[in-house]
Amino acid sequence: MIDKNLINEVIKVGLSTGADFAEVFIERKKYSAINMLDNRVSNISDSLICGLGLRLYKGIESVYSSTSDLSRTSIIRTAEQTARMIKTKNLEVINPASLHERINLNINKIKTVPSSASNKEKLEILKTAYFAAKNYDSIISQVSGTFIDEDRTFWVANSNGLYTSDRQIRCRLMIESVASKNGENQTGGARPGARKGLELFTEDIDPVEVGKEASRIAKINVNSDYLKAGVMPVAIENGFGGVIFHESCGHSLEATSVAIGASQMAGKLGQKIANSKLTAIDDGTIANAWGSYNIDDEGRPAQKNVLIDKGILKSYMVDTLNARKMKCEPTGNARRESFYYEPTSRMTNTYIAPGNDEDKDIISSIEEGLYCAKMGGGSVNPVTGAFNFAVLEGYKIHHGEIGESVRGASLIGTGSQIIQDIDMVGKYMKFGQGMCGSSSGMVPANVGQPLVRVKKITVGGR
Amino acid sequence: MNFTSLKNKIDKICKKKGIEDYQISYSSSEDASCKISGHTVDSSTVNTDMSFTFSCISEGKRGVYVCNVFDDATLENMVAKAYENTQCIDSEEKFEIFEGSKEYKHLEDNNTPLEKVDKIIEKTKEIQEKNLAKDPRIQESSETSTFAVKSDYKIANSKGLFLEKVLRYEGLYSEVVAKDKEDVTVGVDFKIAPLDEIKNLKAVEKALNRQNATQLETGTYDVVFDTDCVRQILATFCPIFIGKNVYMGLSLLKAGKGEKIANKAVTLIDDPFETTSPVKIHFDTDGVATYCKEIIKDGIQENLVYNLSTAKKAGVTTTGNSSGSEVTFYSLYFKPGEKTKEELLEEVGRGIYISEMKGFHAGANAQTGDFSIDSEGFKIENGKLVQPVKGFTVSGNFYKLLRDIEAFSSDLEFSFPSGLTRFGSAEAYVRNMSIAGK
Repeated sequence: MIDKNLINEVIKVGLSTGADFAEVFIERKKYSAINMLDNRVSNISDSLICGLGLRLYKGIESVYSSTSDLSRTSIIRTAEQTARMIKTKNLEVINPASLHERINLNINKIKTVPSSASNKEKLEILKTAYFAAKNYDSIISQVSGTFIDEDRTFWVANSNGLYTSDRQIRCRLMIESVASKNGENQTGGARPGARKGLELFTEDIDPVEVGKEASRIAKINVNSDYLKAGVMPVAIENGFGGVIFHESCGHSLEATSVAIGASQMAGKLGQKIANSKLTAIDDGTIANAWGSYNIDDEGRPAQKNVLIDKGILKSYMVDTLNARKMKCEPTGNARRESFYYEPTSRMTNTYIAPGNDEDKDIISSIEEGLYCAKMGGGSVNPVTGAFNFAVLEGYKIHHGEIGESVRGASLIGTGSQIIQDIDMVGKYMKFGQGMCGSSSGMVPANVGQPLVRVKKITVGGR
Repeated sequence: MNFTSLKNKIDKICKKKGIEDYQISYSSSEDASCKISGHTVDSSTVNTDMSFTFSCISEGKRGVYVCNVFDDATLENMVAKAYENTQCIDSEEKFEIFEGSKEYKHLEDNNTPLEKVDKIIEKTKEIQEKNLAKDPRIQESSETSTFAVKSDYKIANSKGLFLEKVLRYEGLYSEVVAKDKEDVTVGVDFKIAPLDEIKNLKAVEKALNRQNATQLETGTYDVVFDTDCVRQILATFCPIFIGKNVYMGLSLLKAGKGEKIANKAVTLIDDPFETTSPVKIHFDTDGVATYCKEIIKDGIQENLVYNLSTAKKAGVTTTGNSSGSEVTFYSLYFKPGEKTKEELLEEVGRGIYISEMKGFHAGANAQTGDFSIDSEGFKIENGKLVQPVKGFTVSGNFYKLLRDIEAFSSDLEFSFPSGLTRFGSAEAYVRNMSIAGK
């Protein structure tokens, strides 16, 4: 997209004031969204956004500039301005290595590229899911639906001679249903997505089931009573239940917070930090998974990293800048939403690995507690590890059996405690899809786990 | 490419394709920032960004394309794709291109250059070092970030309307970590002001005051919400005041005005010209003149907010709150009361001061009004803040909360702007809140 000679020139200008490393990132991103509300197509928008980011390191200091103007003048001005931001007393200018192109193994094969499909093809998927949700039950008063697809190509080059690129395609269907009863609304949602083309919804996932699932949850919630708050054992179902590990522990294992000591997990490599039943993995190499890629945004191939092995902390997720600070190797986890952001360490497909417990044994082991069939989003403070998650679909457990449904519950605790309290791990792992926010913007992240038991946790309710 | 050349190019393409109704919304920005943790500059950044949104209308349907590439082939494709999008829409919402309001409020542009990176770094260091030196319990993992931003918004349309606004502001954010034995607490504060005017933040005091917190017993308490907590509650539930959500059944409010929906102490105002706002603007993205409006006055519903198309569907007049294809707020705030924070606490006598609430996107549902939020705070005894407390959830429902707010203090503060939106409130006194603790 930009001439290789110009990239070379930008790297040279970048290094001209004493930086010891320069990296150019060029991005072209097409995005499309179709929305439905009130049984009608309410909005269709497309976008094409391009830009360049330049990052320079001097030791462990990083400076970053970006521009959406890809004219030669603007790019060179950006390089000069970034170079001026490097502060150094002993000016020693290094020569960059010459650029050698690398072609990467493609693990995310696409059959039908969504950005080249027609609105009609995408609308067929969206409308099928939408009306399946709307017609599920007369209690469903409103449905909103969105189909999104993204086609992102980037090129990354650096002063070590790397020159490579990746094309990352994803699509996602999101249905939100509202059930109304006696002047009160409750909601339910389903949001599957993958690094796939339209075949995701023509071959793998039936859009009808997506719509029905959203309305099923909304109907259950509007017919449920509030849960009384308290401390109790909890069984968390597979799939998006993995959000708890992602938020409460995964973020604390990102070098972004570990490198500056702002993480409860800093300095604990090799130590037992979790229940020995717990093994946790971040794996960006799973073909076509929502959080996968061929290379990260620094051009390093995606990796499978075992984070916790039977309770022992084995690895952090590390980008190149934090690798300098932590004196370790990067792990292929550097990500950013777009050229506007400096990349940093982020999760990909992060999950609690399957264990040996049977699901029925996990449920029957709980005398009085909560079964979380579907989890919602959550938040965490990585410094203290304190978290809070919504339970989207929950049921009481009485005498080892799943009972009546409850609404409005949330799980509250700390990361370091919950990973010690997960004391039963089921066999059937499943992923759920989400968008993860951090200092380098929003990126698609998969969360996963089998059914697990937390022996004791605070459950918020009424 | 400058805006006039872009507009001329698009005019030509639209004319050739027979597209009569269209609009270009253009935004460009420059920003600079610095983040320091411990004593080291973690990163400093400078970004220049530009994009424009082309929207065209055919038989009341609107197709949209967002772009930042200017070559002829891309612009031709952009216009064709936006028009193609109009052909697939079957919404009853009818869009139109607006010829302009009779009058727009005159606002001065702050067109001075962006603050220099060196000054931004210097200011970040100054505040970070002050924070670290204040108390031995303050940890090196504490962070300070400073930023400066300058944005230019322009819209032009096929009816000859042209409007422009330049915004520029800077600010500083500190997150301080305090540790005493194994007790780790965090305090956060920010200030939006010219860098020279930023002297001190309260992040250190907030982190230290939270040390040695104890558990709170489950029960029903009279509470005072910190301004930050009320702002977060308002930010979560403000969609219920959007007219479209009301007619789509996504809000439990009813259309129109005159219904009592809150206690008399509650007046909620949406003001695009709020005096302290760094993001004042005199037009919305439809090109309609913005104005100040009361959403709730003395507990009575006065206005919902609309853009041109949703107002038309609801049979009312737009309130100038258009933002792209959505409806937004400007400075949305609860009108403050007369009493100082100290006087309000004295009135409460005994209860809980809620200083921090976390996890609204997990524990709150904007469509139902329900919330159950992990919180921290202080016991109030004899009208004074005493023992810090943590690890409890505050539960309720926003619709009910509006009716239960007894009073606001005089201490009005605003949140960080997100785009052109920010939320404001003073401390709020609410009786009988349900709290789940130990």
